[in-house]
Amino acid sequence: MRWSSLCLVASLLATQPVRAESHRLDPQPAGLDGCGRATKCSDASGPRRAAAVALSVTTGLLVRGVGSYVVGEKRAAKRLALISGLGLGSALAGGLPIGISGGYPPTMTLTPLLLFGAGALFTAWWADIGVAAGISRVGAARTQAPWSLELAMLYLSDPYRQAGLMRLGGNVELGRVRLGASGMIDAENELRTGELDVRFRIYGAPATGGAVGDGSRLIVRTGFRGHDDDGDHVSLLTAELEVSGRLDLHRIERALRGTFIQMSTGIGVERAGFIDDHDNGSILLGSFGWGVYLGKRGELQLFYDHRRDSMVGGLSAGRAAGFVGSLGGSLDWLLDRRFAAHLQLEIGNAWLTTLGVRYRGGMK
Amino acid sequence: MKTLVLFALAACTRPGEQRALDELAVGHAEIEFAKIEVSGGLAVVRELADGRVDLWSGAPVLDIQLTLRDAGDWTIIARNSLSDAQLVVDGTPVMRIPGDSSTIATFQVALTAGAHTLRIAPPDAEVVEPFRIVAMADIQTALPIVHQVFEKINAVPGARFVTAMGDITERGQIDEYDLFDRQLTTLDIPFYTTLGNHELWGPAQRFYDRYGRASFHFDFKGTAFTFADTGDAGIDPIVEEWIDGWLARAADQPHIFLTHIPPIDPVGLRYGAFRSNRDARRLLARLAEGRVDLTLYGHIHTLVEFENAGIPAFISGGGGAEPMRGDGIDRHVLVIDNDGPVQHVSVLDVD
Repeated sequence: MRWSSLCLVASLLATQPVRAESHRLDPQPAGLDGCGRATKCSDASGPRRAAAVALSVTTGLLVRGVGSYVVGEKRAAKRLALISGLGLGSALAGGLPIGISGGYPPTMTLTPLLLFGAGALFTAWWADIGVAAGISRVGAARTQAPWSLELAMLYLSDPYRQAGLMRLGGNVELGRVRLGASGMIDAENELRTGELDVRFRIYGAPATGGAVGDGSRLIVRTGFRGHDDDGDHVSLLTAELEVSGRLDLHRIERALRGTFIQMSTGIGVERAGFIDDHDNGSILLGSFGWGVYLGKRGELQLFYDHRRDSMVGGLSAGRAAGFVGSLGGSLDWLLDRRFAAHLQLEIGNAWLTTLGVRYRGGMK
Repeated sequence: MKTLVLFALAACTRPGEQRALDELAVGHAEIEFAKIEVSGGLAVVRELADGRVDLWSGAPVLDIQLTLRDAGDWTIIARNSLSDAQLVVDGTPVMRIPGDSSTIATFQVALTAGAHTLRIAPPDAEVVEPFRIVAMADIQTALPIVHQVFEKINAVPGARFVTAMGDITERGQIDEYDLFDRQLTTLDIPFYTTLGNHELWGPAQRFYDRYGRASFHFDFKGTAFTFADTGDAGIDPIVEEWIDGWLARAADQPHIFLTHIPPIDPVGLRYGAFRSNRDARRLLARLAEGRVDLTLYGHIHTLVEFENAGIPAFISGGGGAEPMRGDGIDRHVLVIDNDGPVQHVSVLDVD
């Protein structure tokens, strides 16, 4: 946790905005195009862009920035390669001691460094595909509403069961603190989950619900969760502490405008109750994602979540099964000024689909 | 390409389903004039030919149905058997042919046409009294020197058999299995094992063809043993259903549960465990409700004693695979003295 926090803070402090536009309410000043400059974005032809996307998806897995390079965004290519290099270094610094020692417990404190490195490697790859596809033309960040209520329907398909669930949640921002609560229950009243969240915004724009020039933020979160599963005969109580950060990539390179990376890490403690005994354990939290601001309408994100205690669990990733978490994608889409839709798919040991509607309150 | 493979794997939430179905073929064989069925799939039929049955035992007691079209003289070989295993055919004992190694029991018997009930077991198999076994896991790259571990086990007084929690090979290759077969000839007692994730680096069928099922259950001297396939960091619902049945059957017996990957890693930050904590907790809840007395795991190359769901647990990955560094624990096995519902577990260092 310590390592990733430092890395995130360092990233936020060290990467000076290309232009002084932090917190600017007008995300796209007159006279500038979607790339954030007076000149046009790279004007690659359709076939060239298609080739760039194909290369970034394939070769780009090994050579970061190849897609950006092919569409003429050479500086973006170099910077994505640099991010990947830093990610590789971080992953090796964290992963080698763990791997060489065979998982000796004291080395596990380096896991966040490994996750941070993996996050940089993957998000740089996804960002390169985004540049190749011309996604950086698209949009600007938008903050959360001052308060919101969300009703969501979820469908869980795991190896043991299919379940439909309903979740009702809400949150409100009071200064730098955001309070959240939610409850979830399945159609047969076998699964019940309640969550409480307190988030403290260290860095970033306050929640107005409006557009901002920079969506970068750093947040510390503490959460509590209770979960009852009658079918499994297990009850869980969890407390966790997490730091999460988002970095708008225009801070690194103009061509990456309209995209962001997000990382988090933390630790949790868990009490699992059985029929007449209980276990106490710990949980490592970690995630990374890459996303796109969709004009003024919302955002789309791909993410990896390392935790295994969720309903999704980890991927059945062949030889790496057990050590790998889940993958997911989420879409937040403003239907109008007050309402937004939330669509999310997570794939791990189970598939979890979420479709929600959010009311955005306190908008001025 | 790797990512595409990852996505393809992700699409499959039941990677163990086909393995579970494949296991069901273990213990059955049929030719034109003979048919054999080993109860519970507890032995591999390595050969069924005219006048000859060659079995690899996965348990100390084998109950067999052998149906013949014609009468004839039959040689029945039970490899990986206890040194005092006997054959009883339709209630009549058959003398064991002397001269083989202690774990190869060979019998010659004249059989009439029709169905026969065979039992290969030591005479004290049903006698409820204290007995001793050995448990180990994670041999992997130490296959060439695992005979050193077996020599130590041979010197354990009164040990009846070895139970193993998987990862006998590094990559599940045929030459590794061949080498393991040769190394087993240096062990004086049988070796009953489930598979580990390293066996899944090759086709699981290679394991089934040689050593039988990866998820199975047997009783010995009043104690129940359940082995489960968790090679891909989870338990398939088919296997979980088998476990439910075995737990119900052994509700009033001392019960030892063995599998490769621990459901929950006692070092929670490491995640050397099931890919889903929910599935892990569900399994532990079932084991606790089924009154399991001891859980044995491998996978992590160290030695940890802990409790899960109130059940005593050991992670023992000391079969010789690259050891965890820094913890001072090297090759070892567990010696388990079964005395009713209480198991006394001690550690035998090899080095």
